[in-house]
Amino acid sequence: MKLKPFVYYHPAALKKAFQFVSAYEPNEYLFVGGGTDVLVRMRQKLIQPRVIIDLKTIQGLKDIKIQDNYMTIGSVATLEEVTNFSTSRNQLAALATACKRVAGPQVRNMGTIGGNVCLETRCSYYNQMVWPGGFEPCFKRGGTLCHVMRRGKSCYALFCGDTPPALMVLNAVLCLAGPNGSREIPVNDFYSNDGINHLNKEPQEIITKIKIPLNKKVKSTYARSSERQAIDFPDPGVAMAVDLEAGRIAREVYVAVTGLLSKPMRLKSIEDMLRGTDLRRINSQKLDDYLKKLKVIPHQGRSPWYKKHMLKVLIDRAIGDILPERSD
Amino acid sequence: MTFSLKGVIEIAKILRLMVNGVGYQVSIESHVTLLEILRDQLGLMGTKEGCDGGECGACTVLLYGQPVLSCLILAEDVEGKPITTIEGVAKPNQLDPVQEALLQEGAVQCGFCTPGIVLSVKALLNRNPHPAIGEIKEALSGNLCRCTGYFKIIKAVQRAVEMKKGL
Repeated sequence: MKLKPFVYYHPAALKKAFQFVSAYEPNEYLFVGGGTDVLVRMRQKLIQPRVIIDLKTIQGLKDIKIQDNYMTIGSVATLEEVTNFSTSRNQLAALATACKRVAGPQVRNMGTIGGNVCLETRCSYYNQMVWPGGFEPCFKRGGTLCHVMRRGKSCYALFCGDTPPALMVLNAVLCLAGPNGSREIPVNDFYSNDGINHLNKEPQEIITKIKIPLNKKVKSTYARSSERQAIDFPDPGVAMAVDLEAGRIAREVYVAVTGLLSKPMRLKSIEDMLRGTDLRRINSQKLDDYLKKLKVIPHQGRSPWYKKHMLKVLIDRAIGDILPERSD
Repeated sequence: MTFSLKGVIEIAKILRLMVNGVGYQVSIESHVTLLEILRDQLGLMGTKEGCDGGECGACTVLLYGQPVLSCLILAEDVEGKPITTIEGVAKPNQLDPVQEALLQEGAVQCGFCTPGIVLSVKALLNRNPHPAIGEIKEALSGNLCRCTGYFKIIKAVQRAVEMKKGL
């Protein structure tokens, strides 16, 4: 499908970008990194921005470096570049794996980490059902109902980005910039559980970089289930980071998940359960009890039972990655 | 390019593209993807439109030697940057070992995915001349094939590795 006409602006500096968008309403423009999310939705005519601002031409948004005991990643660095940089560091294994599991090699060469963090939520009634088929438009398509949660009063589209849970367990901080200045926000606070407005940022704000505090004592991992091993989105994906004492007691533990709700999130009750325990001996019954209480949206025919079951499998797999010598 | 701050108008623009070592000047009237330019304007029909949504890899081209999806690239983003399409792979009168290996293994059925696969494999072998089978599968994971079941494609890559050793 041919693209509708739009203005494509390539600013060399952030200031110019913000100056430019000040003439437009928030719903008229979009910032674009690699284009692997925005362009697809434009081809499907789900969005038709009048203006697109190219983030790739802005100076200084692609650098990845270690500085003052932080790893800082430019938001426009590609997923491939982030993988290559983080792959040799134990602490960052979750990030390296998450970036490496996104889509396929071509998308990873184009897609940016900032784009994956800001990934638009997905739903088969939004992304897959783009031809008119007797489906009344849902909330996300400007309508007044949700086809997934029939009695729902808001949108339940799913967040399916791989990198946010990895960034959450690594206590990453996002640096945002907008026309009114810059601010920092922990990744843990960046998301809301709403299928339409899931990002806690203004439309004029962009992520400039992601800061991860370095800690040699931490080991992390990312485990993911999906229909096919490549291309498909995580269903779900679990990231875990632990600071181990004596190689097996979890002095500190972080667990985060994607693909369950409209936002990625930390599983604090599971963290509380695992903290201070020997990771070789998890209380399976207690884990089941926590999972029972978890609210999960049934998307694409996946029942809540299936998603919670896979969550348990993935947590087990993640612990196995961190404790390879664990006996079962 | 001209634009008014509030209005949106079609742009008329000359783009300078570098494809397979050849410089092209293309006139475009609105924003088009690289795939559209390659096929509609440059007549390079080897790159295919499979899904137009970044999921199948039939539109794979190499940008600076790295595989990317031309259906999701706006042509002006790659102005002046080196692009390789399937037409730029074979030498005059001589197929590339990857192409030769695919033919010898019978790894081409309808052939629609093949250009994308050749380019993904070329990129793999350029950075890793002796890939393990897992690395081959990973490099091909962005290229879907509905005909062959991939088995012969993977064998062909292994054959190409051997052929290149002998060169």
